[in-house]
Amino acid sequence: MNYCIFYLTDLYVILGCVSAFEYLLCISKWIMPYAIEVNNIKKKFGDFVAVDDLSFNVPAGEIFGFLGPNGSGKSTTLRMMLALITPTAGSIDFFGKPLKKNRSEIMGRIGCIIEKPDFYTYLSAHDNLKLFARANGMDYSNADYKRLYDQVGLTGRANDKVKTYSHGMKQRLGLAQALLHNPDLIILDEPNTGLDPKGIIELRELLLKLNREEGKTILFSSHILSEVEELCDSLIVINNGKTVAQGRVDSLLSDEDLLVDIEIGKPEEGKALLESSPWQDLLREQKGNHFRLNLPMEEIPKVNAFLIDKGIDLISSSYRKRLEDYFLRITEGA
Amino acid sequence: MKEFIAILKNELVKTIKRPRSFIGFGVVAFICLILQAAFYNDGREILSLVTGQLENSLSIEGNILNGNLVCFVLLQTLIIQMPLLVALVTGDLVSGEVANGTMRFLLTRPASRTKILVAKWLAGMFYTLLLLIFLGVLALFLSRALFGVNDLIYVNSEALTVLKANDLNWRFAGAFVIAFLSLSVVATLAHFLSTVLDNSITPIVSTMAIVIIFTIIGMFDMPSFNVIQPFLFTTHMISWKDMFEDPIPKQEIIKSCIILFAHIVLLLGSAVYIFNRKDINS
Repeated sequence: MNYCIFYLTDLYVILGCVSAFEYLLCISKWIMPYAIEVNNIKKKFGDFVAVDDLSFNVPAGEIFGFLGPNGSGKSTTLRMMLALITPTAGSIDFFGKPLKKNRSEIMGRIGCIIEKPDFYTYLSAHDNLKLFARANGMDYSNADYKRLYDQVGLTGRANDKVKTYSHGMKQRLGLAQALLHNPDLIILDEPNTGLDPKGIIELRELLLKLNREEGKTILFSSHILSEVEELCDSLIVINNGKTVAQGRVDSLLSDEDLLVDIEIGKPEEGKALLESSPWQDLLREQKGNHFRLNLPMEEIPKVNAFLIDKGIDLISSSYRKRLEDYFLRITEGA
Repeated sequence: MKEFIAILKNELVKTIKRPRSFIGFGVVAFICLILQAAFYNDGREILSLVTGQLENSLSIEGNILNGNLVCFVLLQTLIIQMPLLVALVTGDLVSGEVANGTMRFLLTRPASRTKILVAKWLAGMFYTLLLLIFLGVLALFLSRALFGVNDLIYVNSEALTVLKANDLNWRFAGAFVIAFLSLSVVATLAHFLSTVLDNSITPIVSTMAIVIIFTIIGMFDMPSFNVIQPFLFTTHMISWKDMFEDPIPKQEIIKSCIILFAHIVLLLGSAVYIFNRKDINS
């Protein structure tokens, strides 16, 4: 049957019935189904346009980064995706089905944390999860709950009332309720806010495990860009409700030079050396014994070795994550 | 249906476990017990002052200060406070969750918004019923246990009414049913305002403001007010008293019940319509 579709599509292209773009779109959908398809969505609050003609697709089985500065329309978009607010125009499909007509079925396959994790504070974490499990039609045993608490790091605190929880603990509980019904798609808006470093690492490992071992699609939004860079296969950056950049993380960042900060012992001598070196055009800034250069990754050890060879004390050498620079450049430039 | 029952169960659990829900029971218990204590200590003295004025025209025998009379007085007193106690919980059912952010988690579940809203409304009705049953137990059964059972003698605006003790149980039952319908309108109004407004307190205050304004309009015998008075739910909220008339004005009671029921349908329908189109921005 699939061959048949292929054949017919080829025929249509030959006959000029569809454009090459539509043809490619058709083929790509056939090969790689999308978990999320956002098509030209728009949201107006009075005269203010929060989201303007935004489109993007999230392939099934990927970790997808959803980035944007504060007020970019990120939360509004996520709320539209979860049917919390109605788009002024456009459509959203999940697993090939329109959200508008299949909300109930789709919501049963999605787990999410939107904005901050809010719970019934007068109930325990366990009672909160029981409410959510019941709402999802789940019949959880105590062993299932225990496994979930172990997974998100809530063991030993599950029977405490949520009002006694720190923000980090609430995030863990938020993650537990998102994973409760074993969803195919997980939408996480700022899930690492409030987590301690150990929690951030645990979350990263858990998300990678869910994606790699269980094939779950994850839409991940965070201001911790190093996490996004480390986790995501592809991403979209929006600003003022519009797409600023979109694509595979590797391809978006491949052309980017790193901002490399070097601290050396003899600044005047070092400056003279760098200004006469092959990297003289890449020197961006000097403050005392701190130098900043724009360098490709492979050039960093060469610069370090060059300075040491010339008898300059290299105190430190570090580079800023590429996504941070990329994000700042495209959002500030927009 | 299974999904709706699960959602309803959740709403009932939340309503029962909320600390705010106990305020109503506390207030009802406090008022009932304090009034019963006052009747126990000073009731006969006060009643003798009233009956003393009638001694020349009629002879009264038996225990006038009995459980039925105390219950009747308690109902008259508490029915005024009950709308506030009901609104305190039902006015917060939707807006409270929107304000606290838990509505986001609720609406990202498979159940439709209509089911969630109707489940919340039913939980509000359940709370109202529970509060009224609690009032019934304290006001009727405890009063009867403390003061005994006898005929109910009371003076209304027209005459002295005497109702036989064995003719009272069904009248009290009917009065509680009508009172439940009346309070259901208040609960549904609070639930409706809770759907429209986003903060926790305004629906409660607004409900009480509407009850007070409508009651004031209903109090004045003025031509312009007389036109709207029959359609105000507050006019029909005191229909429970008709159950203690002899003979019972059945037509009036049925008419009041229909108008109260129409209010419920209209308010709940409007709430469902609005909630299905509401953007959850908090």
